[in-house]
Amino acid sequence: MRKIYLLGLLFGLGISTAFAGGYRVSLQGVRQASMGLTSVMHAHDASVAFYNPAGLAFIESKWSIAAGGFGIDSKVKWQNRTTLESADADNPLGTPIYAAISYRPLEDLTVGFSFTTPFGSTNQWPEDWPGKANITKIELKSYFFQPTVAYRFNDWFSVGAGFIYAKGAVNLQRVASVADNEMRLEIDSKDGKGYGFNLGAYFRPSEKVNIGLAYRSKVDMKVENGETIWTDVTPGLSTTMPFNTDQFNAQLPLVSEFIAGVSYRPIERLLLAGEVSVHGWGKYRKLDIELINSQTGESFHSIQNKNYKDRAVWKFGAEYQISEVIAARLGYYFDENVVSAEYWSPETPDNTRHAFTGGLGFRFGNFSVDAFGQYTLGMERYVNNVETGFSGDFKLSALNFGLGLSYNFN
Amino acid sequence: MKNISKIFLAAALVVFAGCESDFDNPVDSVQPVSGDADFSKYVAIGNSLTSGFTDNALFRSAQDNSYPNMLAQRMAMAGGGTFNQPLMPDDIGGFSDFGIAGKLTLQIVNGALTPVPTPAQSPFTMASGGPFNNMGVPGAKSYHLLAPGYGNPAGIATGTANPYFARFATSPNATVLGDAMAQQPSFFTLWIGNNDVLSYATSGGIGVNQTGNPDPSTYSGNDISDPTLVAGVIQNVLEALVNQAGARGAIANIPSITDIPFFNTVPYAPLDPGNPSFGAMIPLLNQTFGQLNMIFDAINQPQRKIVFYEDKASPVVIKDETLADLTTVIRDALMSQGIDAGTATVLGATYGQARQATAEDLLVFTSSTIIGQIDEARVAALMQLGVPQETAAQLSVNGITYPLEDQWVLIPSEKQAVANATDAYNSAIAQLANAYDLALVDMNQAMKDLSSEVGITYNGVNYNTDYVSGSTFSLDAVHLSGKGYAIVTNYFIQAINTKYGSTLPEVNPNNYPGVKIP
Repeated sequence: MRKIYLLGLLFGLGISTAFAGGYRVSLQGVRQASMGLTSVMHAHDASVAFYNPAGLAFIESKWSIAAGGFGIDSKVKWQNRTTLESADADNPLGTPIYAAISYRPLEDLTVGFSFTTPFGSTNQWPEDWPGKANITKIELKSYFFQPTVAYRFNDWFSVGAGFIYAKGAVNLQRVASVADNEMRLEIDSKDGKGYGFNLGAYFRPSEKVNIGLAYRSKVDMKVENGETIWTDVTPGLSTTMPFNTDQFNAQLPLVSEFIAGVSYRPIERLLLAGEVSVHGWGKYRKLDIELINSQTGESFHSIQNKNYKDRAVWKFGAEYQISEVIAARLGYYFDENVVSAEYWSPETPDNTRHAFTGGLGFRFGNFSVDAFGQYTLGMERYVNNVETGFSGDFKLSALNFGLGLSYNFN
Repeated sequence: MKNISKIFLAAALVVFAGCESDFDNPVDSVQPVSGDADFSKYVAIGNSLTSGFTDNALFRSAQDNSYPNMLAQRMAMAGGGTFNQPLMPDDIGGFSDFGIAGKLTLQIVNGALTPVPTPAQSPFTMASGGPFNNMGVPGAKSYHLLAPGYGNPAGIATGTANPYFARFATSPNATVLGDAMAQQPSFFTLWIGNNDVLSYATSGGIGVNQTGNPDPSTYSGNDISDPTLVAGVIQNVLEALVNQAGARGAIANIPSITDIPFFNTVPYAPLDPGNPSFGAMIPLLNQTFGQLNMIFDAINQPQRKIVFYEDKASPVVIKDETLADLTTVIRDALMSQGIDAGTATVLGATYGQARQATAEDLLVFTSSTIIGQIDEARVAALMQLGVPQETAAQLSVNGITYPLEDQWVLIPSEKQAVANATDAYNSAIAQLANAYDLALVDMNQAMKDLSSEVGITYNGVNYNTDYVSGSTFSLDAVHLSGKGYAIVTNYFIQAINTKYGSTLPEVNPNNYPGVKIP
């Protein structure tokens, strides 16, 4: 019961924030994050359920509980060298969280449950910035609830599967201009829903080598009859589509991921890991927000083409056991932009990123505390959206930190 | 082993030592340059578009948002001097003593958005504090730039002078060009020639196409100016500015006039059967016109038949002066059917050159206020001929029973005359820009961009040629809004930067005023 209470508490706090390419927030485990996001082959605690359900079967203890939280302090800057305008997004601290538990009722069978916030975006641009027709504020959240089961065939091989029930919340605000009138549009819903699954396999060909393979399906996050709020609509336009709408429908793909990774322990104290994940961003073709007048049933589609591209993220990590108690971790990953300059939009400020990670782990018997920090260096890019005429230089950087706890016992 | 842990620690420190996150070329350190141009003394010459005229008036805030003023503010970042404008006395415009109204504002009248003129509050006054860098004169045609007396206050009431130029002309006999030259400009912009074809178009082509006649003293206000004349005037102006004053500059060409909202807001088929006062009339109308249509069939002129639809909007009836005149044919045919000579004569005269409009015809913006209304002058004229009042009224519904006169519609031959003149002006302008080594501002292309399917989009805000909602044009459907002038400014800046290697920053049209919807 205490555990359920804990989950509820975390749920209330959890807000995930823009990170990694697109709107994926790859922070579902502190130790994994410290090691450059390498994940599918680390079966140290229950947090592996999200990355690779098969990994649960290789957790050494009968029970494992893991939970953690992150802070993302991101800076997004934009400037237009043609007009000499500039703006900075004042993003609130993003706080993705996770919690997971696993239990092994039978020798070969492990069950678990994972709660994560793997997709999201929070960007707060100035109310009157030049890109206000695209976005002034976006808050996109997702909550993944994933019951999981893993089966271990032998000393070196297991498989696992999880079912994903996803909840989502969205709040998007922008300004619609007609002649000299500016009207503010806000769409808001906390009732997004979606379903998906993940599958995984885990191999331990030798004591020194661990290999993980995992696939997580796309989750189509759907909102039906969310709330549309217009403000500052002038009487002369109050009966004109779309300014007379009060509801919306929308759908956002939380895209699939195929992950393959390996770790190797060349010496007792050192663990090296490498991983590649392929993200199915190609499924994000357009953002279609249908604004509906609930009285008349008439609707208006606000469509932005996105044309994202599938991308691979390359990840490298290392852990060095300084003493019985303390481990130091380092990592790096490279995350290439998922949208071309022609379809780039400031609601998901996407660019190519180099991330440098580090962390420390402390182990006190069954109990572990992990700390993490990351600097994300976003490459400056020039964007020029062919549909909105939004153009300029854009740069993103971020400092992430996190703290995780895990408790493994029999 | 010790070394490995040191590497980890050192690397961790590097990771958290914040990296520089500024841009490679931050805009706050950009210093625009003038390149080969010298912006220290900029003079703008042109017509209403140069003055900042908007919402059918010239007033203070409109002048603030004139493209020359926006341009001058950008030039000021690259060595430009002060820019002085002949500011109007108030923010309403017009001249109370000459019966010229102030600006239009959009208001809800009887439930419909309607542009309403504001009465002028100030009489004509001279502008003080000259000379003025902005020499845009609303209403000026090309040849007015060289016309002495065009700014003579004594000539305003008689129509020989222009009140806007009279406000700042340095003497009664001054010319626009002369006053510009006296300022010894180092840089100029010239955008002239629009009115040489515009007034012909906005008056529905009631004027004369003067192509081939280079003597402006024989022109009346709504004529198309001879392209040779326009080219000659512009050459004179450039000769003075470039070769005498030594200035460099930019010259803009003429957009396709017929793409402006003034010609594209009233549809050719505006007669909606859902309108109760029109819909109820349709059966009777078709029955009445049926008689006439039989005659058109009999003489093998089916394209002249007039039919109103009950299930879709119908085209208006117009008078097309290029059609063969069937007045007597109709009269005789009707009389042979036993209709009295008086009625037959009136009907013959009314429909002798009538037809229904097609998509090729452009109804002028102002026709929206008269279509479907009873033309009282026509009623009186018919009654004068002995037609009973009720019948006279029935035969006087504008665009339905009374064909729209020439002034309300640009027919294809008139559109062609406008297009031919515009093309001729533009080829002369292009040639002269080249000869005098000037930046050529392609406003013709700008209008094509604006009137295209997608328009022009700045930062997610779309601009096109739709009336009001297109954000580009002002309530008069001819002149631009502040936002529209900002777009013009950007076309000037692009052409100037390209020609002179300057780096003037563009403006963001979204930040400028436009039509306020109540």
